[in-house]
Amino acid sequence: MPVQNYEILNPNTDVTTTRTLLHEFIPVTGTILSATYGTYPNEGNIKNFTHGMFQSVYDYPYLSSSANHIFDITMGYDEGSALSASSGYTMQKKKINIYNQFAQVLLGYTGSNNQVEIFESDLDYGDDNRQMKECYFVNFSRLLSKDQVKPGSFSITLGVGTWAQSLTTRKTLTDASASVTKGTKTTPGGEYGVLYSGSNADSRCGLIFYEAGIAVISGSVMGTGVDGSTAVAQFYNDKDGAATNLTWLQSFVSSSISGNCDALRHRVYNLSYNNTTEINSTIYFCRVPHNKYNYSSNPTYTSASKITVKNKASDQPVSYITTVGLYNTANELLAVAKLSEPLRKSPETEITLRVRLDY
Amino acid sequence: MAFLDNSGDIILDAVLTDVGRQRLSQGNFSIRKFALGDDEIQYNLYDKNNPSGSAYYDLEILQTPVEVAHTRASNIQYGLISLTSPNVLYIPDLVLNEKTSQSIIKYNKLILLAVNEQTKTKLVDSSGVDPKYILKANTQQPGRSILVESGLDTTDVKGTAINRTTYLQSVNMMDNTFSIALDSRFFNGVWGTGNASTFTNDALGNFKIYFGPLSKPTALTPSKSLLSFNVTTARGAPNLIYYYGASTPDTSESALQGPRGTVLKLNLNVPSPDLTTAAGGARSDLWGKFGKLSQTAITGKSQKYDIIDTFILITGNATGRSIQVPIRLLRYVSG
Repeated sequence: MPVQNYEILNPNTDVTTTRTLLHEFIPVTGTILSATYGTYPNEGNIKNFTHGMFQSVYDYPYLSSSANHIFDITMGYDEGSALSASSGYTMQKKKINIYNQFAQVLLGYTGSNNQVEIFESDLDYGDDNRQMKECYFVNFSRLLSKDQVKPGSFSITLGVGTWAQSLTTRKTLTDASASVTKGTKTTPGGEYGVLYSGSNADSRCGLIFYEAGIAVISGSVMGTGVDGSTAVAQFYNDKDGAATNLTWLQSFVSSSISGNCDALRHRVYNLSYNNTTEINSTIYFCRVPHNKYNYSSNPTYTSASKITVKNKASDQPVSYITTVGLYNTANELLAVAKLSEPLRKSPETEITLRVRLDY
Repeated sequence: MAFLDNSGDIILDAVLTDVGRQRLSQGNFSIRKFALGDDEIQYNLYDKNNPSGSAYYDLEILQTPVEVAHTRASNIQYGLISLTSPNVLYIPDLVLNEKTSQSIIKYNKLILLAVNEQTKTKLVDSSGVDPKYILKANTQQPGRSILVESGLDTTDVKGTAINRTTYLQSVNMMDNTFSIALDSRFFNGVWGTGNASTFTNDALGNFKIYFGPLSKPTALTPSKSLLSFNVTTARGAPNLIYYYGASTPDTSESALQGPRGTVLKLNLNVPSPDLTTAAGGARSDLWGKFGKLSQTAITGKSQKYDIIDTFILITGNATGRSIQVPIRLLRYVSG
């Protein structure tokens, strides 16, 4: 039956709101991405689609209900790229469409002729310097990235060795120069930071969009080094096609989107980032005065009408709190909080129970 | 469900209830007050005579594992209450009175509720059940019906007028009204204590017990704690049976042994004609869904009855004390 005694909560003194950012470390090892759940490139945790425009990566064979979506990979190039000069390249239109889609969502437009901006590996995307016209896009699932990727926490290590020993030589891209207070730029797609593969300015080779949870990696990261590294000669071994041992540029031109995604997966040594969950909380301070809630209507509270916890009338009444019910003015129970252990209440004690509801 | 981890600091596990989520979606989620519960606590574990000292009195209680919060089921069935005086030693109980000529008496731990006249007749005439065990539903003047007393059921305090004032009235523990929760699928109302009710005795041992026609109490509203239940409020009449030390003791008609506060007389209404059709009539599917069809309800008798077992919950609105009354709905079928 309904409880008998309610205590009014004063909205000015008993209720407050807070905002908390919760971060989790998300490590993804490269072995999950390649050849763990089957034979490369047809692993059970890699989902390809008939439209062929992107590839989904799961942490377990995706036909299992236990599988969790980790991220999607795709690639594309701008219509102003040298790769667009000749027609007839494999999936050329779709690759251009993919690039434009990400550019318009993440960067917006130039302001003239409805032209989309072009990705640049710096914090000034309007100056046309350091343009990245051929890119891989890694879209992290909402399950893992939650509300956003934490600035300054992203890292991806790629193998830049030969195809057969792709991971023996590695390159790590990080956004270490970014943080929650500096080193980021805001675009229509949210804040982004620059990915560096080294310490000098020339090592910039990608972007990470924090709110969108999308990493944009320049294809040139496998090319003749902007950061002084040598080009990866055997970027992709297209076993199903006529060509083998393609450079990244050759792969962009002649391989399908899925093929390029396979090539990138084959070279991911690991990646990690911290996600961010924004928790908005309302805290109710349930103040229990010394002279209230000292008795109970629990049937075991009396034996032959006599209060069980008393020997004589002058003994202090005692009750034990296990539950806090939160009600509206119509006495409807809207939320309930349980204590992990009973809390003793008597006229000698005043208690403030801090009940937090997270949204 | 599970128990909460109680190995470390005290934590609070808070969840929105179904109603809370509903109100949130409607944009009128507004928490304005709180109440406290102790449903898991068994106060009889309080060992107030523990020879090791007061620190050991509630050792077992404090070790009670607490379940995680539920979103649907009732989370606070009883609740902690505030009484103005810290010196209260006795709290009234609600007790089913089976002693007076107005009281229905439980038959094998259940109150038999005949849903129609045919069933009552068959129970008495064919199945040989004494009428004192049979409550006839849907009537304002049932004769015998459910009688509940509120007061102290203790031999420590005599049931005198002075003690009634001291132990009940002066500490605001007179249940002048009662909340009755009943399953909305089987009941569509109750008849409560009438205005012309008398429940008293005198020093010579004479009892005057009269309730007259029952009255229709307040409208039903959905229960806020029991699923599928409705709640209504009925008034209680003054319970003026006192201890006089007479040869006919006060307890010969009262179920309480100490000071008495109020008394509630109650009959139940079932949906008609849904549940009240006579044998051969259209049988409501409620009988099959929630009960048993064509049962030999009375041991050794061949008559067949449809039965539904349920309960009603009666709570004193001043004391918060409650009593759960088991009810068996009976409908004659054959034999």
